[in-house]
Amino acid sequence: MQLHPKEEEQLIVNKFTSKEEHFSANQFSHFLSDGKEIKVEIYFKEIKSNSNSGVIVQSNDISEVLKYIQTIEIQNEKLRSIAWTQSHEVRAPLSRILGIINMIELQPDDRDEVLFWLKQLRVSSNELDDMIKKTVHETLQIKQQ
Amino acid sequence: MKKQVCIIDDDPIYRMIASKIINIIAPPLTIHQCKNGEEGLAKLEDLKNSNHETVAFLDINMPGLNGWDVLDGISQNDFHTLSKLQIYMVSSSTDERDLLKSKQYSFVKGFLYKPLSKEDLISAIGSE
Repeated sequence: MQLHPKEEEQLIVNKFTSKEEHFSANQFSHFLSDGKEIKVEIYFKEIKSNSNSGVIVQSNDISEVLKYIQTIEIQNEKLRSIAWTQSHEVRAPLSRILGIINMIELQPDDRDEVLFWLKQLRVSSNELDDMIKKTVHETLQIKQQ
Repeated sequence: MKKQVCIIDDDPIYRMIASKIINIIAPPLTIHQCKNGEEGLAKLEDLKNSNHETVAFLDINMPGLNGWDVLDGISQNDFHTLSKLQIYMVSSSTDERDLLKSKQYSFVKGFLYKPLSKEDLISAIGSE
């Protein structure tokens, strides 16, 4: 029965005979008795007793782990894209807030002007607040996926 | 030569802030406010044959025609050959890719980040 694909089999045998305990790339395909393919990590240890010597080979199924890693990578990609959009969108009201502060500093003694800009400051701050809430919401959704 | 300013941006508060600062540093310049790319392009077309030097502040992120679309329109209509037209790209995003992209347009005079400071505007249009 074929346990590994041909090209990998030779590689594994080479590793056994060279007695290297650590594979540099320890990830192989493994065929189960029903023909299903899983991904495994392979470890081995030479055993010597008075009469016999042999090798213990242990193959750990890492298919699930690899699936998790893939999911995490997809989520990372989504988070990166959220970060990108937000840095663009969030900076719009923020730069407006900074611009409004410039205006107030330019004419601090003009009461009507200052009151007008304060009102604008509230509008833009609320907009910024909404965006941050939206980001948090989107991030939470990713976690639940 | 007389100078005029054209502010192309969908954000009314930003346009108001920029206009007010320009009025403080360089009165009495004519300031044209355009609330989107379409209006901006039409206004530049309009100003093409005037004898006035035009300084345009062009926002990148706008619905409809964005800043890049306006730049493409300017190229297609040969406005950029006019020595009287000076274009500054303006953006609130600090994404470096925008800055690099603006450098692909030889006729873009500079790139400014929001909020525009008094100093930014003085260096772009000069004080009277």
